[in-house]
Amino acid sequence: MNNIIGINSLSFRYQSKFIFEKFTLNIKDGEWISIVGPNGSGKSTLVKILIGLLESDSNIIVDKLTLNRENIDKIRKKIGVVFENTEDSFVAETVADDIAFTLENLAYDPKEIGRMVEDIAMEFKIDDILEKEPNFLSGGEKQKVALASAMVARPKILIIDDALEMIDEKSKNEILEILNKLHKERYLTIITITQNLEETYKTDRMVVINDGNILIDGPTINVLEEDKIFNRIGLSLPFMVDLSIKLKLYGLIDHIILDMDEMVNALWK
Amino acid sequence: MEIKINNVNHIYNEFTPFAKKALDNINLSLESEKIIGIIGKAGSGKTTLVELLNALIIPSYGNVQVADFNIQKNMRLDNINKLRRKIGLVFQFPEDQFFNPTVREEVSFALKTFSYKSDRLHKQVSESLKLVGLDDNYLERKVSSLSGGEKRKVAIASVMVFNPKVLVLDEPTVGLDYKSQKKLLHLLKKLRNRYKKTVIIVSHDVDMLNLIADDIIVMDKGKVVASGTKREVFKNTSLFEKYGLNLPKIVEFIGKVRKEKGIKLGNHTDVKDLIKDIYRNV
Repeated sequence: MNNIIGINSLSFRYQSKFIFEKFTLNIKDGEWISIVGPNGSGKSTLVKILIGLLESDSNIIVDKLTLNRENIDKIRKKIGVVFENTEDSFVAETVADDIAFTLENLAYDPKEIGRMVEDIAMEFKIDDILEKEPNFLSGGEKQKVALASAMVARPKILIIDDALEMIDEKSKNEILEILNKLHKERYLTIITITQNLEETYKTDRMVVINDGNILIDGPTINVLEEDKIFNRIGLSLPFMVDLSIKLKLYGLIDHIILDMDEMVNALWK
Repeated sequence: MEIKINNVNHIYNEFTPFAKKALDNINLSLESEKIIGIIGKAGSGKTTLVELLNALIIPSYGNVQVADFNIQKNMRLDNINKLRRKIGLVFQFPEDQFFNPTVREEVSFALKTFSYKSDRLHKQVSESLKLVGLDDNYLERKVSSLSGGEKRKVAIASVMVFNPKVLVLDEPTVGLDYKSQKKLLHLLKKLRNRYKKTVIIVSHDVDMLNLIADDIIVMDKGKVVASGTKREVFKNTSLFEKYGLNLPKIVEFIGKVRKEKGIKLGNHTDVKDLIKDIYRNV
């Protein structure tokens, strides 16, 4: 697989402090990667750099294009982003108009816009709320609308920036299932930015960062076992990971088990 | 300081086409010196309920009794101000409650409003910051330059500075990393144990509430559908299924083992204790 994102020796300073110094990360086309780290580790700064909200003079390639002022509009078409506070991003009076706004911004043919909005609404199962006002939706619905807005122009890369924290577990699982489908069936490249390790379970690869440095990078299921690293940087271990690691130490299981039913059956066969 | 909520109904935009019932016949008695968790889906009325407690919202019908204060329609403004010294409210997004440039001004704002003398003011501000783990170096920092965790601490300090008997926090752990969360939970326990405060926490994080709450209130569509001690409420697994809410993961696991394998593990809140129990039972 080719790299869809190449960050080569990124250095970025905010006021006088280095947020990143010679930071290198390659993301493969079609990969679902999670980037985790505590508050202030540089996660969100990285997202802002990738979508051109913050400028750096380092060498960053997004889908064969060099990230610079000249290419930024083309690159933004390739990346969909869902942020934590979606309320701040709603602009229209109805959900349909809000999703259409993304397409209008990207200068799509007005004749196509209506159909594209309907298609994405069916896919994300929000077709019944298209005429509602975004501010009256539940937290889970808001995030689904934000996700639909991010995906309506069919970007190649989707970034989920701490966007699932405030929603209930049921909506969170529904969204993770939609993401899983997009990843498996459309080979969408997904970057999940979070400090909640439960949101990484379905990702292929996990990169843990702190103070702008990569502490570990590998298959998610292996990285999750590194409890010492998570403790050191102050990230909480999800119950199933914590339980697995401790049961492994006691010799009661031989690998990390993330599913509760599977765990119960592994312990009491 | 006991809090009694009597037959409270609250309707937003009452008598307009946009009328929406947010609280539906609430009767509750909240005990002092406890940590009380309020859970429920988005839109279940949790935030409206806690905003009643310091008269940010006056109930459309019924009343709330907090010590000698009676929160109901026609409540006198001077009484509202006195009440707010007893009940401190920390909003979900601390940014929403900041309107001063520096930490010092923000934390001392309430004291100035309540006409404290300036010599006492400095000491109180310092002590309050110390309580949440921030030293005097923070005094001149710009509020806007603080991290999410630091903002939350300043928000709590600016409420604790007038020494309220009851502290109400709406989703206090959202956006905080584990280290900051742990420190915050430690602080809340200290407020209950050492300073005899009542702490009321609205949160979707049932795992966190399982660690620190004494009592739990469950809300759905503006009604209280369960309330009691943590153990009583979390034991009722069918209630959580019915209202689409999560149980704390550890409680869910223990319940699953009991249901599917017939093995009774203890009601643990700590994974280490659970592991020992599993070891004895496999």
